[in-house]
Amino acid sequence: MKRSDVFEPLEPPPHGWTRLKARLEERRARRWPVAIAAVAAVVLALVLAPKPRPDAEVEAALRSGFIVSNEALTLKDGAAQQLPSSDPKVLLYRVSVMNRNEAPPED
Amino acid sequence: MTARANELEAVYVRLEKPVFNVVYRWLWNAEEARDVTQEAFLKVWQARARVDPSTVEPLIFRTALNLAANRLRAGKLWGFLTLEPLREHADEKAAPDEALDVERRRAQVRRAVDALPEKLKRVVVMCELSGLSYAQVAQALDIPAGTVGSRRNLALAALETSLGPLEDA
Repeated sequence: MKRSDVFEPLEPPPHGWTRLKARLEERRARRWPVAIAAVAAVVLALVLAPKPRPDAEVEAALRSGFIVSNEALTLKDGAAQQLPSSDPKVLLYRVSVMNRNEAPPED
Repeated sequence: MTARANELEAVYVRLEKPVFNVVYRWLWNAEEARDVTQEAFLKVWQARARVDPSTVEPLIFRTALNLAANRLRAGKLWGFLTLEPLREHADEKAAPDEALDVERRRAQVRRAVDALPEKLKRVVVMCELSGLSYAQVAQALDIPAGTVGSRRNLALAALETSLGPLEDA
């Protein structure tokens, strides 16, 4: 037997390049929806990510035993009202919101 | 079409047949071999930014060989790979007796090539069908150039044991 019979070169099926080009195009087309989906997922994650709530910050400050002495607060005509607290180390005040047009209280 | 796509076409036209022939000796199925050949080109194309143009040929063969070996393993495991009937490549113009002889000879060759140890098979198939130099074959298979020659001789000796003396012409 001849060596060329053992390793006889065969012809590949026809239209190889056309087929490869179509596969390349298909992959390119598939990439866009994937990229768009990835961007959408990032945006959605940013929108839905839990943000620190102001209430939680106040609660955390109270829980940590934030102590304000009576002297440090200026009470003016009911602008701040002390509320009952079960913990003597914690003082609770309700502070009224001042209108922007109002003049600041004078000391 | 971009300049890089034109380069791809040029490389594909040049290498399609040798890569197909190498891969075919693993899968013995023309459609599968064509698919793997194309997959190898696509993989190298996707990595083109990191590919040194001077090593593109060995790289395509290496990728194709690895893909073929993987597909063969998966095919054996899941049983989806079917050996193509040898009749497809028999000479249709030949007389029935002659065609039968050709078919029988090809079956013999397939058995002998498949019986080679993987390392020898890779080297001999690459040397005989890729059209690459020994140095490039060594690069594609990641072995020393001297090993290519010795493994090729061992492989040819093993084939002669199975098929009888092989003439050069």
